[in-house]
Formats: sequence, structure tokens, C-alpha cells
Amino acid sequence: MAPDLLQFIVTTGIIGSIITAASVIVQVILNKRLRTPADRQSEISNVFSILNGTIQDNRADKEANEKTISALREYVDKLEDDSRTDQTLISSLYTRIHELEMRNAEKDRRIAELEAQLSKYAEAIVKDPTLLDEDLEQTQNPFPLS
Amino acid sequence: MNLLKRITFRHWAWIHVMLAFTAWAVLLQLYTPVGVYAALQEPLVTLWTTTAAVGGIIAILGLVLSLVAHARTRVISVSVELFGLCLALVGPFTYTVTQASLIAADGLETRLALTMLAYFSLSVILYRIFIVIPRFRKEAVDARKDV
Repeated sequence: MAPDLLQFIVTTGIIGSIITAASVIVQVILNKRLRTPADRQSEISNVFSILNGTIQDNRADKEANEKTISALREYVDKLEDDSRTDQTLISSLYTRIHELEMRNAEKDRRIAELEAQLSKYAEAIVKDPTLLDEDLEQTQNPFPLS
Repeated sequence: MNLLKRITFRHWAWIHVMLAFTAWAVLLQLYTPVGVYAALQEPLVTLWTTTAAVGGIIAILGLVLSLVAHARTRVISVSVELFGLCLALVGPFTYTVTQASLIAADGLETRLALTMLAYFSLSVILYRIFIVIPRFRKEAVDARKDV
């Protein structure tokens, strides 16, 4: 191999390694903050608590809607028994009941979606327990297969 | 002293590998073989041996930092070690290429074993880099922030 070519290859290799090393530092700087295992755990807990909270909110809304629907039905029944009642009022109440039922159906769909998302995250953690890993030793072992 | 207590035999073994590597780079700088010197000239020899030696020391520092109790320092250690390993890679890479290039002039009998030995040291550094990269991606680059 000609000395010039060798020197070119070596110089390219040195520059490449220095650029790679610099890129490690740049990535760390761009990332702004490094994640400790405790950070990862709190992020995961946050995701779970947000999802659980939203599911609870949707269930509470649904329950409130069901109570309103049942109250409205009782009221409509009473109105229907009274011959003097204006039919327009009954019709508007039925429309309101229908709206609430539609809203409840939407809540059911949303709850199912959130539960699916929750189980997806739980599965991800089961598949990759290192997401919650507190032990950094594993990658400090230079010969992990031994 | 607490830090020293945390260094296990496994860590000492790897520190020993990196110390030997650093000593190799320093000795190559001080006592450069004639063939290598002729092929690369002084400035280039100084550059790659110094880069490799500095990289080796930084990699050792990264490994030692990973044993510090403070969580954030431990996380930073992986970046320090990877930075050092990338610099250290210059040494075996240059030595492998140089020895391989000298095969034509000096013959297989003289240079092949040295080329393979250089390739072996290159593989050792790469092996450690591939062990460290997943942890670096997880903790420093934050690739899996979604979950």
C-alpha cells in the first residue's frame, strides 16, 4: 500500500473517531437532561396515573349521565300520564335523553381505548423489564455472556 | 475509599484491559517501531497514539464514574466511557491498517500475526462499545421516552 494512501486512511480513521466521540457529547447536550432509573420510573408512573385518572373521570361522567337519564325518564313518564302536558316538552326531553345516551356510548368507547392503551404500556414493561431497571451493573459487565 | 470498595473483580479486570491498552499506546509513542514510523511519519504517530492513550484514560474514568453512588453521575458515566472508547478505537484501527499495509513490504511471516493481534485489540474495544451503546441510547439519548 502506498504511504500516501495509508496516511490518508489513518487520518480519515482518526478524524472519524474524533467526530464520533464528539457526536456522543453533542447528543448528550442536545438531550439536555440525562435519565436516571428513578426518572424512568417516575415517567412510567406518570403515564399510568394519567391514564387511570382519565378512565376514572370518564366512568364518573358516565355514571352522572346515567343518573340524569334515569331522572329524566321518570319525569317523562309522569308527564306522559298527565293529559294536559305539552307534547313539545316531552319530545325535547326525549331528545335530551338520546343526547345523553349518545354521550355515554362515546364515553364507553373512550374508556375501552384508554384501557387498551394502559394494557399496551403494561405489556411493554413485561416484555422489557429494563424500563424499570434500577441495576446499571448489567452494561458494566464487559463479558455479560460469561 | 468507598468507591474502591465498589470496584468488583469484573471491573478491575476491565480496568486492567484498558490500562494495558493505554500503556501500549504510550509505549508506541515512546518507542515507535521502525516500520510504523516509516509508514506514518512522526506527527501522525504522535496524533494517533496520544488520541488512543487519552481515550483509554477517559474510558477508565467513565467506568469508575459508573460506580459513584450519585444517580446522575452514574448516568453521565456512560457518555464519558463511550466518548473515551471512540477515541481509543483510533489506536487499534491505525495499528491494524498499518500492519496490514506493511505485509506487502515485509511479507506475511513478519506482519500477519501482528495484523491479527491488532485486529483482535480492535475487536475488544468494539465489543465494549457495543455493550455500552444500548445503555447510552436508553439513558442519554432518551430513545424510548414514549414508554
